[in-house]
Amino acid sequence: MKALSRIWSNAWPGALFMLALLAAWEITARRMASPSFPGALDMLSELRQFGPELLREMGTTLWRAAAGLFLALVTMLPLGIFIGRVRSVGDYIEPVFDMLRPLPALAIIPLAMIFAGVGSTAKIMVIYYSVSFPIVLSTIDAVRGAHPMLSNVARSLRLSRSETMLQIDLPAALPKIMVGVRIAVALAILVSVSAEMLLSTDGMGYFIVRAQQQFRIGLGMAALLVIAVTALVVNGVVAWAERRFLRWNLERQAATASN
Amino acid sequence: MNDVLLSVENIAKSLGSPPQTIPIIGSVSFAAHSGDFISIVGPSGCGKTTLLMCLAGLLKVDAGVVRFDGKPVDEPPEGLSVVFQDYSRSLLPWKSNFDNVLFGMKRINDMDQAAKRAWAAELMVSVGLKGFESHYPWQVSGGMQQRVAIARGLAARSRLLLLDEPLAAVDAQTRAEMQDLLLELARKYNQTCVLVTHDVDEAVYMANRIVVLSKRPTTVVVDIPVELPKPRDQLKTREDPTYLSLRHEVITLIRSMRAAPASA
Amino acid sequence: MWFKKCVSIALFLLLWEGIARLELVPNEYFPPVTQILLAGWEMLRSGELLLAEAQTLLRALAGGALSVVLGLVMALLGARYELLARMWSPLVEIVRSIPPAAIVPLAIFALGLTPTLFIGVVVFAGFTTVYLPALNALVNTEPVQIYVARTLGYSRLETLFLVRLPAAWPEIFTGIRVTAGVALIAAVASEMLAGKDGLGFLLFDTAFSLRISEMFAAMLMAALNGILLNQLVVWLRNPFAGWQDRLAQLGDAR
Repeated sequence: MKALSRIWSNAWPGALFMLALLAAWEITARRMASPSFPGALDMLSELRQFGPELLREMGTTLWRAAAGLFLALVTMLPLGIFIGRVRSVGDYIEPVFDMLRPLPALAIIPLAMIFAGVGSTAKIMVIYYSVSFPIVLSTIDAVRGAHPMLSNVARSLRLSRSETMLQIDLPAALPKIMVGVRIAVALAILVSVSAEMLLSTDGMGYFIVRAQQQFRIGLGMAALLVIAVTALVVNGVVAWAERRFLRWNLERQAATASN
Repeated sequence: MNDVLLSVENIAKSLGSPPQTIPIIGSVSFAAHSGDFISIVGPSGCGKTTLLMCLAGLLKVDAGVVRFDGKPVDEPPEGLSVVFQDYSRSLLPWKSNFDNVLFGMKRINDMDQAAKRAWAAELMVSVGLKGFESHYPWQVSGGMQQRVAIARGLAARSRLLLLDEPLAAVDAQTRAEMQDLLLELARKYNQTCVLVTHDVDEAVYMANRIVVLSKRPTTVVVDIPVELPKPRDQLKTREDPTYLSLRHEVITLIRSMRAAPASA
Repeated sequence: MWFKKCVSIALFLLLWEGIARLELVPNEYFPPVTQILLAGWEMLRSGELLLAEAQTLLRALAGGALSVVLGLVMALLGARYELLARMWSPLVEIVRSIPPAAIVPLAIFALGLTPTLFIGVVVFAGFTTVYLPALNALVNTEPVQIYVARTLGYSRLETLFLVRLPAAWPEIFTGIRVTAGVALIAAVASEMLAGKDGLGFLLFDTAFSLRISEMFAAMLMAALNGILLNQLVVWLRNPFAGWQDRLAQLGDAR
């Protein structure tokens, strides 16, 4: 009960503001009485009516994002560790990433379309490309910043190169890598929606485009709300997991900060 | 008879929110007259810094009153300057040393910009930092940063200067120089000083009165005058029998407090 | 390090050229570097590329600048009046989570195909990435520095602008860098979805008309825009937050 009252005492300005905003929106919409300006209640009714369908489309968007993310993690984590550790080769590979980074992720979409059409493959390709950057770059950064003692530890334990990478480099680098992963997760959802808007077959992105084409603004807004809430929930889960499993790092950070 | 500049009357202060409030200051009273140099000493963790923050008006006291020039203090008053313990972080890193000193002149109304700059230059020379005006605080050593902080504290020509362990992190040699410098500047600019320190030698050397605090919740254990001639001298004063006996008395007091259990 | 970078990029280009010339991937999809550069040159001369580039860059710049101003103003207000920050916090969180592209259909409806559309989308997408780090930095100023300002006689407003804001610039500029990237993405996205001009439109146009070399050239241009905007932020950052870099360098040296 105390926790609830604490949450409320923090949240009431925001909650009140949102309610006031929704009310003002509803009132304005009613005054305008125009089909192209739906009110808050209209959006909510669309939400209720199309709830299941919205969730289904969101699921499609999410699984593509997850697929692209998974592929990126599986390929870019080892690559990042390799680039960071094996400087003799890695130093020649990394500049390629730096060079490609300024290219906006969406600019890849026409290219993906040429290569793979408008299906899921193309979208996952785009997602994969976009999220590779934060993952590989944060991994390189993490491995480079590793405590030099760690390599001595590995050598003294006579670990092979791959064993070293897996058992020592990876756990030590995890906190900094998580920074990139957090960015990647948010980016994956964002790019998935964007790709679906441009390569329109299904998914939330396509849903929004279709709603606009059918002049159903309320429905489009409802879709936006679903995306926003989903993104917030997913990011929240990632943050929770990070706190839960990397607690040792947070405490260490706090300890050094208080010095 | 010198007038009372700072009057501390039965103040009490606790920190933290209920139910974990910790009483820091139990009941402290003393007074600083114009021209005084008061040293406040006590065992570690007795709340010296909290006391200073209350004197400066940065914290509100829970009971009693702090009066500056007769008026109760609830906001940092005009005429009062503070030199903080964390001098390094208290200096603004985007400003040069000179500009940091200028920053301290907010309350000066009777000078134009040119006069203020001249005054800042004079202060820099006073603290021995001529030539380092355009350096940034992080470009100079810790001892020098400290002197910039002191110069800034002096810039407003405040009548009362509160110093929180200003020499705690400095090596012994520099500390001796800085002690004499502080005494000289206080005399030159006619300032009343309240110095918080854990170093008993320093406390006795610099002050004309010593206030010894107890463990938490803090009270005043003794408030004694220091009958040593001024100007002080690092060698002569520290060999003076009065100095030695005072030092002995204070250290014994603090030791006994450390051994005794803390009051509930 | 410079040497390695040049070698790396040269190798990359050579690899590309090799794959293309050897037709390991059909040339329709994967033209040689030389062909791309030639196509780019042609487009530049015809003005096609330059026009698109200018439009995109302008939208990103104008929208980006407005985002930064909006985000900063909001952060200053939020730092001064905590209630305000708590009040609009849920709205900020929602806006932050909406992909820039997703807002375009709605924006088209509201604003039509006007320049305001592009700028509006950019501002919508970009202000949160300035607001959040700025607010965080302003609120978490070093306490001693606040005490210093208070004891020296500065008012709360003066403290905000003379102590908290200068201290916050390094973090704010990190946010501005991100916003620059977001601005470019948002501009390109809105052009792809709504526009009849700009790099976004050009990318799809060249793709649909199978002018692949031209498409790659446009992609190159888009990347260059990214570099340009980034450099702009770096250059702007120096008078405001340059001290932080020099300070950090000294720390590392010690």
